[in-house]
Amino acid sequence: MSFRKADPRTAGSIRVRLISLGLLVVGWWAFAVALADPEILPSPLEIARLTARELFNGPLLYNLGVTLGRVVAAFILAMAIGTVAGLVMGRRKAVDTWLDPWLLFFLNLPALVTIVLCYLWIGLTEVAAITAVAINKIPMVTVLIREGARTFDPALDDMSRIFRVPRITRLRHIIAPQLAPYFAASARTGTALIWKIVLVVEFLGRSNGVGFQIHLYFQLFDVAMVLTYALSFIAVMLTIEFAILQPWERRASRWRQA
Amino acid sequence: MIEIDIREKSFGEHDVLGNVRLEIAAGECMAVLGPSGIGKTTLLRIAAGLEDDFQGKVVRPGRIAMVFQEPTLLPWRSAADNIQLITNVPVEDVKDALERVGLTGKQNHFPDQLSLGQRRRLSLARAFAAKPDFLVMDEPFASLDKDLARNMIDLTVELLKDTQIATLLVTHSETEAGALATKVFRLEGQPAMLTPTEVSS
Repeated sequence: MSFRKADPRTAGSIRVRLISLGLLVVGWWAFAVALADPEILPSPLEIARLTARELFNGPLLYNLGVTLGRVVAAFILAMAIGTVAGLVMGRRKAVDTWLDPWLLFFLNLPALVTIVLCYLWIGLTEVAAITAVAINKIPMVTVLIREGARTFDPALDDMSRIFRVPRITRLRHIIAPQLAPYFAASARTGTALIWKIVLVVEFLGRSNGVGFQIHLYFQLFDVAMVLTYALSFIAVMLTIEFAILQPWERRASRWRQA
Repeated sequence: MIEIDIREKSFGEHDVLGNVRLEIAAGECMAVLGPSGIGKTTLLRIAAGLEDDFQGKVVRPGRIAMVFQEPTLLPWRSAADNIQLITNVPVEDVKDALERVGLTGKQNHFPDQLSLGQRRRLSLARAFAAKPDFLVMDEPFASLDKDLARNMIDLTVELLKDTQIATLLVTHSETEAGALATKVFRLEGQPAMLTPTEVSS
């Protein structure tokens, strides 16, 4: 049971995705050639050259690391608070009734307002930056996890009560697997949203990170460097998506295909 | 000895159970018959401790196991894990438990890879692996075809033999009640109450 075979459907889907991505690059290249103005739209080759230069002789790696650190910190904070809030709201009707208006309020609070207020109230600090990003993400995690908690099978609850399953076993083997698809969905939408907000946070009030670099090159009207930093970070996030999040999601839902 | 003494159980304005008294000694199996919606499951949930919003008292031991109407397994865990994680018995006992219900070699199968009959057997194996003092069975053979139901009844009789488990079986089938129970009651009326009855075994 423990061996795994390569799924031909997954392999086929990876091939299609790579071809699709290749077509995007080809389209960009064709457009850049047709425009013939590297200051407005540099070619992919030029961006690749700049990326290599910034990577080996510039501060690209440092800034990628700084931004990734903020993404990870805000992600962990948002997932932890959102999961607990979602679980409690999904399982306790009274708490849900009380907290639902708050949730709606925070869901409708624009990211920019949260960021500006956090910087004004806390100051231009790392804590303010990460708090602002987490506040933007927590409501979405809460909503998804609450949905998950509402779909829990009551028969499994009864079963675990009857057999007096220890709390930790219940959490790990009964609650977590039921929550896994919702957790995975909120993690994936979470990372996509968080890194975009982190860039805005850095743009507005930090002195390092990919967002700060984009701000810097925006002031210099340097499209090539803006693209270099933006695409490098997209590459990092796509690697995380394909190397960590998607395999984990597949593993979590393996039993469904059994 | 399990003592169930319900004075009243209602859902809002609707009185479901009236005066219901039942005593089940170790090794005894009581069956409660009745049509759908009469309150059998409510009685059983009160007996098992899943429902505590009622007037009356239930004295029950600590070790309880239940066989549900649906097998109620963890679909994301193997057959062996479904027994081990829930009952916390040693691994070697899991093998024995599966063997006793005819699921030898199926320990690594996920529930979805088992037939309905096999899932029911697994649910039965889990209940007995827990070594309960009190076993509660809620329509355990419903929706099985006649042969499979007969087969499951025989298996349950075999598993209960020579044990000191007090069993409460709730069913609408006289055949099941007759085959398994030492005493049979009928739940009837509004609110429902128990009356002793005879069924052929």
